[in-house]
Amino acid sequence: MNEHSFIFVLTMRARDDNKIQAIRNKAIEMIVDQGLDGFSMQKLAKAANVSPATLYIYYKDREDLILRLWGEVFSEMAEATLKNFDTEMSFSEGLKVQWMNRARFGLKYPKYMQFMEQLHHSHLQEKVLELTGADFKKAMQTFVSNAIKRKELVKVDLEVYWSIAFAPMYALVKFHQEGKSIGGKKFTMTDKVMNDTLKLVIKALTP
Amino acid sequence: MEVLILKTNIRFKKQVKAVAPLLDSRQNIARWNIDLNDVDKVLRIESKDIQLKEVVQLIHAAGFHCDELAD
Repeated sequence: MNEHSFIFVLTMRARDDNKIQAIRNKAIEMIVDQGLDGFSMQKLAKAANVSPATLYIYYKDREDLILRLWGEVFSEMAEATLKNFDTEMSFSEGLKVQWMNRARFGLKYPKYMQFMEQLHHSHLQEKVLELTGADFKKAMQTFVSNAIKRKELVKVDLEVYWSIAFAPMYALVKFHQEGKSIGGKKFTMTDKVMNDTLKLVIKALTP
Repeated sequence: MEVLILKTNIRFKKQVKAVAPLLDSRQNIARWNIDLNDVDKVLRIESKDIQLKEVVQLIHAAGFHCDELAD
């Protein structure tokens, strides 16, 4: 009997956090580069230089791995977005803080944003949405309803709000990451571009 | 608690349901699951003292094939 077929997990054994981190990053990279459908535990094990058996110690199955990954990435995004943010802030102040936080996070971790996008468009979307931090959602909703009450923000559907409040910023981040904008025009993000865009966004959303 | 990993040819939910009672009835299997979403159809067993032979026999008896997952 091959003793490699048994993995002994002692309850007191410390998890190898470096290994887990490496697996995590590799998984995100693979899902972004090759898509969710092509992703398998076997491929990941090879790319991360671990045995498939090792993966199955840490993760129950492929879906467990993907969903836990999503949870972690989402928490990091939520934490970054809420830094120095207060739901009681004025709309323009609060939106500016969010813009700066989200843009900084998106620029620092380009793969995270693409990874989250992959998952949103997958059949795992429902399960993913269940996991979406309730706290983060609540903070976003409270900020918006406060601003609406104070007549600083027009009352519109969520999709309308998001498409104007955040989509422009993410578009600029993408342009910056690609080094070019429309029609191959070279582009680098600057504070001026961010501020000019933010000003128009706020103007559009002000009653 | 040991984690035993085997690849199988159990491909469909119906087939998992067929082997479920056999795995559930074993006292020494604490938890088990089969990853149908992955190419190796991995059977993952959490157990304190189960033998590989025991599991192989069980899976064969149900009409399926299983093998140690190569390192």
